[in-house]
Amino acid sequence: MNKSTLTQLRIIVERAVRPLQISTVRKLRMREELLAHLTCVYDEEAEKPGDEHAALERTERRFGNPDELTRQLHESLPARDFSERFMDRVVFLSLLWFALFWGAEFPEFSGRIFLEVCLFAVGLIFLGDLVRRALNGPSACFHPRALLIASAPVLMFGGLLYLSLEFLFDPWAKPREISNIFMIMAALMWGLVTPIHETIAQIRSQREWDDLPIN
Amino acid sequence: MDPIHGDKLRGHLESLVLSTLERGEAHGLEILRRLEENGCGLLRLKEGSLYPALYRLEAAGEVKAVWEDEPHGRRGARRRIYRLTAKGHRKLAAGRVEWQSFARVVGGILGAPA
Repeated sequence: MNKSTLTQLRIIVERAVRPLQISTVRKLRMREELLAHLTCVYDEEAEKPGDEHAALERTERRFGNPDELTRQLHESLPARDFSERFMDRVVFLSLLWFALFWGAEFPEFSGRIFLEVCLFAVGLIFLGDLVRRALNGPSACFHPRALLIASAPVLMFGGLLYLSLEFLFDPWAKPREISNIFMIMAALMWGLVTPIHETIAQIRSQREWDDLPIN
Repeated sequence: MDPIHGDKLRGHLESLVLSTLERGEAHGLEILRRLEENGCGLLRLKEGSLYPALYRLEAAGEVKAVWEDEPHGRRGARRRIYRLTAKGHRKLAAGRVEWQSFARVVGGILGAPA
């Protein structure tokens, strides 16, 4: 199979998957699995008489209508996908939080503080990832995952609530240690539920998929 | 005999998939092969439609999926291997009872008992 055929197969997958409003990780999992299926089907079809183009057409026909598949995939989404989508954004929100509020406390060093805070948050996330992998072990069975997924938004909300109360009662208050602790814990939770080493590879893969012309 | 298309399988696809997995774990294409084999070549399912059914079963805890270790002969993409869970076994047993009752009732109405 040449590169152009593989791109055509990816486009078939992408027509069904791109319109879905789902978490990034779930989308990448779907893409990989559907692409693996299509490559096997194409290999079968390529053995039959006819050229490469005919084999691709038969593969596409066997796979089905992409709009119909998008609808079916959307209906198959579990309710927890919403919290997973939220988790996609928690890390960025945490970084923004640290940068804004720690930076505001030391405006004269905001650039350096921003960098330090980002490194600190990334360190926390990696630490969470290490703990997660240690807990997973070879059996890859981690039941409290759902609890961790649920706890990160709660912690974020707690941090925001604490900060808004602080502003209401004392808008010039400087120390925000408690709300920062909430954010640190949210970042740690994110690290616990998200495999970082996979995520980096997934971000690269996501860009490749997004660049495919599907129309 | 006319082929049976996907729309006629609505509501039964999950049970059919569970039944194929009773023979052992399998990836998507293998599940389709087993369905085709057991349906004597008369089942005509759009292959993409299998995956939403598998995702529903997975979300319900009736099947469990793991990624295969290596992509065999394919470029980068790995397959997921599905296997029945204890809950899936119970669901399959319930699905069989439900089907027998459905076939009896509809067969009785049509004058063609199952």
